[in-house]
Amino acid sequence: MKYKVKQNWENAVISATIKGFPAACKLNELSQAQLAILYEASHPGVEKVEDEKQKNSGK
Amino acid sequence: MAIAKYSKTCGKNVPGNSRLFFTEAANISSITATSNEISDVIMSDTTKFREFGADIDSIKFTIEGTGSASYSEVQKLEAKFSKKTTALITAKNSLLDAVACGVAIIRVDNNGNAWLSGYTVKDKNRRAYNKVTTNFDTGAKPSDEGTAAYTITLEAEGFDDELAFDTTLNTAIVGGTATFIDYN
Repeated sequence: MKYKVKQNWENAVISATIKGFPAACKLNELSQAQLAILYEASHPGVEKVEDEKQKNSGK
Repeated sequence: MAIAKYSKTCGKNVPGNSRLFFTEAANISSITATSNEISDVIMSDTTKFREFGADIDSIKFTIEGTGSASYSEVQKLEAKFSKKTTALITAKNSLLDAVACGVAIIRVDNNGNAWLSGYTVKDKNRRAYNKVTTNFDTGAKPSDEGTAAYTITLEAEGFDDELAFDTTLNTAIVGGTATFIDYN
C-alpha cells in the first residue's frame, strides 16, 4: 500500500512537532513514512492507495 | 512580498469573544494550513484543548505590534472567572503549570470565528504563551460588581498573528464537535 496526498490538499502546508518531520512544508513533500503517520492519525488530506507493483503482481 | 489588496467587507462587526480553550502547546502534533487557514489539527485523544468557561463579555484578546526592519508583537489574552471555588483554583493551577512549557489558545470571537494563537506554522510551539498574571479581589460588599473574580492574563511575544480555521473546522469548533477540543 502507498499513501497519497489528496488533490485539493497538495498545496496545504503542514507544521508538525512529530519526530522526524521537517520544518513547515507542503504535504506532497513528505515521505511515505511521514504520510503513513498522518494517515494513521486520520489526517483528511492523506489517503491510502493500492501500490501498482502489488496490484500487478497479484494478477 | 508585494503589498496585497484588501477589499472592505460590508457587514456588521461584533467586538468581544464568547469561548476559550487552552492546551499545552506541546500537545499539538501538527497543524495543516490551506490558504493560510487551518484545515487540520492533530492531537492525541488524551491531550485535547480544554474549555474554560469565562464570565460573559470578559474575554479580551489584544495585539501590540511594533517594528521597522524587523517586527514583533505581544499578544495578550485576558479573561475573568467569577466565584472562587475549588474547581476554579484547580483549573487555574493547571494553567499556571502549563505556562511553564507554553500554552496554545483557541478563542471564538463574537463574529463566530475561531482563532488559534500560541502555535504558528513557522515556529510551531516555540512562541507559545509563557507568561501569566493573575488577580483576585473579593470586593468589600455585595454591590461591588465585577469583584470576587479571578482575572487571568496570558502573554506571548512573537511575530505571527493568530491563525483562522477553514469553514469546516470553524463550524465544528463553534458547533461543539471539534475532535481536538474537550468541551464543557
